[in-house]
Amino acid sequence: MVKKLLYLNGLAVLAVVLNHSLSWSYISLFWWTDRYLPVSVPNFDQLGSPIYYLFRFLEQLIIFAIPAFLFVSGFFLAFAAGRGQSPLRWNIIFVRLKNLLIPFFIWSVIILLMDIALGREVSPAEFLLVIVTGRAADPFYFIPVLAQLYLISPFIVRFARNNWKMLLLVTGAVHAFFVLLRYPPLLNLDIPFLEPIIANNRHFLFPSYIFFLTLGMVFGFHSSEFKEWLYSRRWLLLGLTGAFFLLGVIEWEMILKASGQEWLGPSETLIDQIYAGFFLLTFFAFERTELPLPRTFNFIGAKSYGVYLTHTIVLIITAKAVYHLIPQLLGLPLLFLLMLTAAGVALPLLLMEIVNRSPLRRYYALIFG
Amino acid sequence: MDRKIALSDYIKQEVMRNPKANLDDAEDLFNAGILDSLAILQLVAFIEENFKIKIPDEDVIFENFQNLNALASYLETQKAAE
Repeated sequence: MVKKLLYLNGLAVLAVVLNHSLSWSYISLFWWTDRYLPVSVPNFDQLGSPIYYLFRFLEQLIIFAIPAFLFVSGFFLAFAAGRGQSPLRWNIIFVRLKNLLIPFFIWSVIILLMDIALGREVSPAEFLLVIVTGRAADPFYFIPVLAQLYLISPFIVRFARNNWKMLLLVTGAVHAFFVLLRYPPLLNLDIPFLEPIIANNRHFLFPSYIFFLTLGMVFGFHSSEFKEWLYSRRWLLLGLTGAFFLLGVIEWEMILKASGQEWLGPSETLIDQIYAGFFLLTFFAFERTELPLPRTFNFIGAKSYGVYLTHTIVLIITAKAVYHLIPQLLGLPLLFLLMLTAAGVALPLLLMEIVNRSPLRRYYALIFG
Repeated sequence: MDRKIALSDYIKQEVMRNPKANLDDAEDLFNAGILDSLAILQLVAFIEENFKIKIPDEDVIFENFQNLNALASYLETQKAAE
């Protein structure tokens, strides 16, 4: 199981890149339509088309990515705590936070400076706030979330060791509650007594992610106890993963319809979280099955943080270059998606390799983690 | 080559990215921020591939990977058991 974690990390970072490539592909379908068709934009004629549903299926499939990263982090925290009853040492947490946050700050500043160069007006206070809350780029919210979870992890460790069922129950309930709070704004529901909590349920706060970190911790301490249980139920788990995958697709279409909007920005729902949970369990239940391209996925998995931090810039530049230079490509959405995804993985890896072979090598960890 | 030296070289070269770095055999690899979650997983893969020693999941624990001495000692035991 341990050896599959690197593979899972590789799979997860590819999923993240594909997810953000899909965001640009939706833009090409609905907001950049006038670059390849004689229509005014936004144009939602392609909503409900086969390519739209292909994109939706892909988007649904890869929802396991952030839960997978959290799971691997939880597993590491259990590892770092050791097998005895010793607490998780704060020094390890602080060192881990340093290695996580320095590259995050560097890339946040680079992206914000790019935005400013392109005409965005940002006050110094806003500049700081954007960085701290992980809003310099769409996927950056995850880093403050992970940092918060690292900070509370020393308080969770002993429960993961000695009282894991209760821990999973409590963190699962907290997680589900905060995810459920995403529904009222999506559905335009007014629930006055929940309003203060809903308004402050920001996506860079940890409660709506906590379950997957604790699940990783529990697996870290007790994996040998779960192996046979998972293996004997692998087909059931695969079936449940498939069922919740389909339910997630249907649920989103129902939410979109009920919202009365033409389009809704992505927001992960409770069904999505359950799907992600079953995906992870299924992944480990099939541990004895040989997975394809292990070297490639392990290689990418080992470089996942660098790819995570840098792929956004690559996608922005690539998508805008296509918009201006070869707009006809926007009319071939699948090709556009493949091109973005390939660039979003390959160019960050190339950049990391260049730094690795240059005099900057000694700063590699500061730049890419 | 001595396993401990090979491990030290690997960590300096691939993890610390500085072949000239000082790495004491007793230095805590986690307190020093040298190993993180991904580095451990890579290190396990390196050991299995290069030393042909199988590391069971239950042995991937802090106590076996805390420093070079602990790791070399664990690998000795594991090799003998195989």
